[in-house]
Amino acid sequence: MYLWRIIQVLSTSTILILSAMWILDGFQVFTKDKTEKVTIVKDELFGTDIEKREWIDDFQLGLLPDDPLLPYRSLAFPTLICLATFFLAQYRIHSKVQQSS
Amino acid sequence: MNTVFLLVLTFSCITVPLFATQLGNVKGKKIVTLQSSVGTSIVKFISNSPLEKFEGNSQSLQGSFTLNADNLEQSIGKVYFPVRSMKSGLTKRDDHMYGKDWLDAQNYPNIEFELKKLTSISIKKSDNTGIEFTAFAEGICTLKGTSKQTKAKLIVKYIPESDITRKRAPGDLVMIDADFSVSLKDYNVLGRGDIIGSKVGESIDLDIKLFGSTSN
Repeated sequence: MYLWRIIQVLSTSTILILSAMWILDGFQVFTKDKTEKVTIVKDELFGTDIEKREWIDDFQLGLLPDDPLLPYRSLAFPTLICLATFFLAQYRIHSKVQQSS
Repeated sequence: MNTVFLLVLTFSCITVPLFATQLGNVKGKKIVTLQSSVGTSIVKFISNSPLEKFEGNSQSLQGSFTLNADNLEQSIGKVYFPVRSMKSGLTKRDDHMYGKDWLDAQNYPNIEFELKKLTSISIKKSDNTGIEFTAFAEGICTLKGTSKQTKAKLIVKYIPESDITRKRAPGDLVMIDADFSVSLKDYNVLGRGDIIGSKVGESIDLDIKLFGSTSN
């Protein structure tokens, strides 16, 4: 029974950690592997602001995977697995309690 | 009858040059070539769909245009960029974008805009420091082998060569800010399934900044 409780705690923790990552990465719909670094520079000659843009490698967790063949690169897939594991553990705990009583 | 004809002819000769917009004190035709020493030319593309708004860019623009300083309306030119230089921050999406269902980079490696004329020109500023005008660029946009008449809104800043400009690049310097949008369906970009309209916007907004110089 303790093992199933530990599995439940681990599942919940995983969901919470991944959700926090997703929020910190900016609620992305799709997972991204690059982020755009934008630097605004004042161009005195043309009297305007110029954006310097460059792509840098940076993993950002999204709700859905960037590649359908790699579903684990998302929040949704691991969350579903963890939820299934959580309810399976709950079912096992419930069965054990009923057996012992 | 001949008098009427002569009057019409004289009137035409007088009025036609009046409609030609001049680029301040600048004279003649100025060939402006895009140059990175003047600034990084960039095209930003923005897709707005119900599922996701994303933007990407290409910083590999090339081309040149001829500004007819005596008659700005008659300016012409061509600007293009490779499809494979377009990045959106998601490698898999970029790979799809270059694919046959989307922009088909293999068969149509470039996206082009050919300027045919400028219309609705309005000079906003003209002094020793430079000339600024707004206009509409009318021309042909070619995407995935399909060419369509397109109209882009422009802001042009033209700075004559001086000691200050020479520190950046030789020749007169030009910056162009252009905005227009393209409907993917018009260019036979249909994508797979019902992605257009859900994950990718039906029309893509383009925000273009071009930097060039009259020296080659």
